[in-house]
Amino acid sequence: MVKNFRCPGCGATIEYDPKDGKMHCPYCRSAYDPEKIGKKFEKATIRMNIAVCNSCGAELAVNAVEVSSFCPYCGNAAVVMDRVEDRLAPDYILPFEITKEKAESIIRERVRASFFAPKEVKEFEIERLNGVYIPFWLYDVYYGADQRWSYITPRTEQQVVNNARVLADCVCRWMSVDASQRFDDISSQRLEPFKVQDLKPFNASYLSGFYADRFDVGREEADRIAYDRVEEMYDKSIQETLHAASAVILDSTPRKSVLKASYALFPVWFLTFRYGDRPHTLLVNGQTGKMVGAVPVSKKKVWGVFAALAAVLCFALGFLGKFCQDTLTDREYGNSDGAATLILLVLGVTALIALGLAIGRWIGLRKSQKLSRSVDNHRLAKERQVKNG
Amino acid sequence: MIGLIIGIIAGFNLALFITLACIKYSVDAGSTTNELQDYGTLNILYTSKGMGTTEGEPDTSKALGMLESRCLEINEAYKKHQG
Repeated sequence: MVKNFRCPGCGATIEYDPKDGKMHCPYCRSAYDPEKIGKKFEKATIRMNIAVCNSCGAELAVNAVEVSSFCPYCGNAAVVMDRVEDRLAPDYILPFEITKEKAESIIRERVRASFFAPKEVKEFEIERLNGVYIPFWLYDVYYGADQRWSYITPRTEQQVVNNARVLADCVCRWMSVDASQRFDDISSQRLEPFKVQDLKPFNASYLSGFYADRFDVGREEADRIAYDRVEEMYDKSIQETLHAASAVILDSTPRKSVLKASYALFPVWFLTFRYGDRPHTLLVNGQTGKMVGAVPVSKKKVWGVFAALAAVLCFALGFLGKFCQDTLTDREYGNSDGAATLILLVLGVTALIALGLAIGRWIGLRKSQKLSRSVDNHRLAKERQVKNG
Repeated sequence: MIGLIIGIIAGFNLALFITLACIKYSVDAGSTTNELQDYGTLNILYTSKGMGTTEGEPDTSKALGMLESRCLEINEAYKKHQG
């Protein structure tokens, strides 16, 4: 079932504008409260799957996981109400607060400020910029446990293994779990936090002018993800309470239950651009403006910076190492053997630690870049662009 | 010679780390926030810390009872609120 929200004054299609939270008519420039407009049009329905555009009469094929769509022929906003109201009505929605222009400027500013970004990327041309409502499950979860821990505290002279028994519980409120299989879980977690105190009861009029997915992660799977997430945060918190440097759980008897689960739509801007024949997608939280994603890097700049740093540091530390070695072998310097050995040891340890940290940074960076080249995220944006004509 | 080699390796690794840290800071945006305090408060009902075994630890039945009753109470409160 498809419907357009039409201006009560002139009959033109009206769209939701995040700037002032109202529905605007582009022709007579009237503005309407989405709550009232939504109620007014609740009964407008036509058959699902094959939908006819209310503006131009075209037949509109609807993607299986789409809730709203644009008419591919006339480009007017059309909302598939069947899947929203009958089967998949979300409980809440966070309307877009960041406008399209603002989302673009957030990304452009971030990319321009990035020293390592290639020049072409800094002046990138937008291939697509789409506002999408992503489905989330919102959970209130109770989690308590009777646990036995074995742990080591930092800064103990002797490494003694301590044991502790901890009984604790917590109630996690408004914890979000990504309900779209096609939207990458790590990306959705990085988009957080969303200000859930601004949630509004669902009203389909907020969808007008944007795209929206319906959930395809069921409650059973989402419950499991929510429990795993709470458990991970709970254990981390207990470990911090014990002031443990490293710890293992010897035994755990958890008590957990889902207190409440709601279905909500959260706003996300998808910006796609092309660099080196590859699509890159950057995301912006449509409520807070938080940007997520990794910009491509210029290999020339990376090698330049690395070569300069390596030249300076290798020369300086090499000289220091040689000086210490000479001190140890040359008696002329008197009783400075201890200090020289210490410096050599520090240099050796620094070399190992720096290598470990570098590997960690490299892995983190590769993961982020892979997410920005995420086929799923790009496909999601592309499919919507096709509909946008 | 060994001092020179250690110094050069340390300099090389340090340069590698600094470069990668700068790249990550420069091009990667958005970090995950996954802390319990963002969603709720941890209530410690009982804790026993000590070295060695936990043999001879105090009676924990009271704390266990508290955990059980809190779990039931919270669940009931939500059911009532929603019902």
